[in-house]
Amino acid sequence: MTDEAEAATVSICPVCGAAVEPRDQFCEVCGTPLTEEARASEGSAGDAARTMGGASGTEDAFAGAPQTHSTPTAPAGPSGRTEPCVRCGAPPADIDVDGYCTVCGLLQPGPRDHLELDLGWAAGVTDRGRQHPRNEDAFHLELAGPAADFGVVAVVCDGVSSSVRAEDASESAAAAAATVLAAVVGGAGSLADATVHAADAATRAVMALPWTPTDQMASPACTLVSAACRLGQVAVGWVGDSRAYWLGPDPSEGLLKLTVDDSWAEAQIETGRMTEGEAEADPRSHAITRWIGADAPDVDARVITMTPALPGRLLLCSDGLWNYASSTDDMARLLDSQPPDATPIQLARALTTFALTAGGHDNITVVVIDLPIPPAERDTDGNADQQR
Amino acid sequence: MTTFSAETYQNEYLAEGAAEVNAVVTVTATAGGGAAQPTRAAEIIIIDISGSMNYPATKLRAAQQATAAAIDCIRDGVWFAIIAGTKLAHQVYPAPGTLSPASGETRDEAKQAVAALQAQGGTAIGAWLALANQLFATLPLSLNHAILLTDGKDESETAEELNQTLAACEGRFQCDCRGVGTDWVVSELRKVASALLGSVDIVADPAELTADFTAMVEHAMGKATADVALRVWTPQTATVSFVKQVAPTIAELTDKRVPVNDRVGDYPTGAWGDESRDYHVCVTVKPGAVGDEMLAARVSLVVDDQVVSQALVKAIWTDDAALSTRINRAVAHYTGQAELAQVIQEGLEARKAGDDATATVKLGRAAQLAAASGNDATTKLLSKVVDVEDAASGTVRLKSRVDDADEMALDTRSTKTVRVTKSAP
Repeated sequence: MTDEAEAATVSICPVCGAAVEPRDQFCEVCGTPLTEEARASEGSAGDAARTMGGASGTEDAFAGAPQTHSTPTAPAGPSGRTEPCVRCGAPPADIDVDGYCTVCGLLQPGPRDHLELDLGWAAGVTDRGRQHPRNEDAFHLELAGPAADFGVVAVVCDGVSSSVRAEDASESAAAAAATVLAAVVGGAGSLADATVHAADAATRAVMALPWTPTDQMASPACTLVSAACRLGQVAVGWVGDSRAYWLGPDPSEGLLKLTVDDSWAEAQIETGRMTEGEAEADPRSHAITRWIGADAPDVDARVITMTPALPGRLLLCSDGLWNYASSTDDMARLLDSQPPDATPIQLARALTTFALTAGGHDNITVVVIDLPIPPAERDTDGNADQQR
Repeated sequence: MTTFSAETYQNEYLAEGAAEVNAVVTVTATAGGGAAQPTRAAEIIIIDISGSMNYPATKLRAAQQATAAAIDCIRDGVWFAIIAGTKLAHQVYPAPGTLSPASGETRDEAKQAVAALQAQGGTAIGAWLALANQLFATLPLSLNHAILLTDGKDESETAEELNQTLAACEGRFQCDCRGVGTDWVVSELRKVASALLGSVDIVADPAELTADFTAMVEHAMGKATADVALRVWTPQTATVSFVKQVAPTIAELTDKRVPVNDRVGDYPTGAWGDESRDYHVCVTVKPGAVGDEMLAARVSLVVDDQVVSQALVKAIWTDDAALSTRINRAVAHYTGQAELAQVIQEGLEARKAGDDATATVKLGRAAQLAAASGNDATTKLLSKVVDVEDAASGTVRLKSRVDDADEMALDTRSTKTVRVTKSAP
């Protein structure tokens, strides 16, 4: 220890390495229980304490923006629940610490089943969908740096369902990547470099998850798509098949798909072996060729940087959404069909609802960021600010 | 202090509409640091002294020697007694109606009493067990174990009398059963061992009795925790299809369920030392919707009504066939081992009944299963009863001449399983 004073008040999460306060029961980044008490209650209150989003620290800079967290508060009872069983109606006292109803056995909805974060000009929604028992998607959305720079960091991760602890993998990956990106967006340095480093940090965080091998499941793994924006500059990075799109101020330029899926289908299309239609129809199409995790191919995240015409809208999503609008044309039509004055949270909710209505086959995550014209480029009337 | 751990091996993913949930739960008991607290324990050795034990006379002498060796293995302070059986039960040592704590002196007295035994009379296994039960009852809260040796059929009482005695003894003590020679009935001793959570085996050659008795008593002395139950919780709409121990041996527990309440039942597993056992639990549930996750069973280890460890058996309905069609290795392996035991017993029965066609099919399947699962001990026993032409396809020919002892060894040991190799990290 080089700084005794700091060591007295700040320690490190044993799992993800994030700084934690002595009073913290759980690591804010990865949710690891830090005290005996927290460990004892893990799985009940522990899950609820794993919150989504990380606007703390930058909230003051955007005091005017709505700060609607849907994060549940820590439950009081030992079962951690105040609602009766959603299937058989057994009282909350009959829900066990693992979240199962002790009468009918059904796993009760978890805190991550539906989460929203609304930061005003940036917002995210994640939802369990209709056909998976758990939400293994996670997102992290955070404003960073001085307000005037419109710095923002977003990370969407989709836990690989054939891997163990997929929901923990996605959450720790998103948090670890966002921490790296936020530091650079809030300071100096290359957004592109930070994007690669962020994916590396996500890999380390996932590899640090303890897991028990089984003959059914692979080691913890997830996809990742990130966006780091500062002063109108954008860096998008990805590993796997979660996507990012850009919709600029000129509608005639259309919707731009920024990412290329690391998937079997895309590999067929890229090498010319199949058309997009043929590849998408193949049962193997969704197999991902790269992912974040211990047994992943050791390659850097792919990165795209741009300085787009502003204002514009950045959309990050997991395949739970784009499965229902796979081609860029379909996604463009889907976005066109939304109310033009929808705020980011409204759009994120509407797209989530669209995916749920279409079947909700997978977990759904949507992050929408409206990048405004930075103050330095605004006209004297401040017109560009009106839409906020 | 023994600590227990329980782990589940299963494919929790079910296809839409599927209702059967299978899991293997591995329970491991580990003795903690420091000297084990000696638990009050009692050991009763029951030897058959019916007239047939004189034919040949080496049988009784071997049984006497084996009992003496077993007495020497009884730990100081463990309460013990010796019963000799004919159509009645005779207490050989100590005074009728009591047990003695083992010491140098009492062990010597017991061995002298055993050496003086003479063979004469019939065989009434139930009567012997009833006396053992009476003696154990004088020592409440102790870890009770018995060894029963016989050489013949239970002919001096009715099957119904034996059944009644077994019902009275169940849960009171555990009993390992041995048949010496080939004139005893495997199914009869298996019934006793199964009711009293013990093993059954053949000791064809009386000369092997000493080693076997010594091993049994040493094994019993290694037990530290009495009356451990496997407690299975299932949801309201579910039913337990079966619960069976599948390693180290197959032991059906389904009918031994003791209801705790509507949704919870206890299955007795007897006393535990430092050991690991596998259980196959099969639960039939009301199918959920795709996307539902259900707790199909919560399997706990219960000692003195305290839950000491537990494992969860889950069901998740999915329309992803890649997930739902995976077969868990442990479940598949033990399903095979259970079938192996069953086809051996059915095959031998058919052979005895003169139905060679059925016997060939059943024992052929056994050869196939034993080879595929690496159960070399069973493969070896099988090869004394059938000529295996092709293990992979299960093609066998019945041997025309089979030694009775070999056939009985195959029958008694058919329930011995090999453990599944859990996946490496």
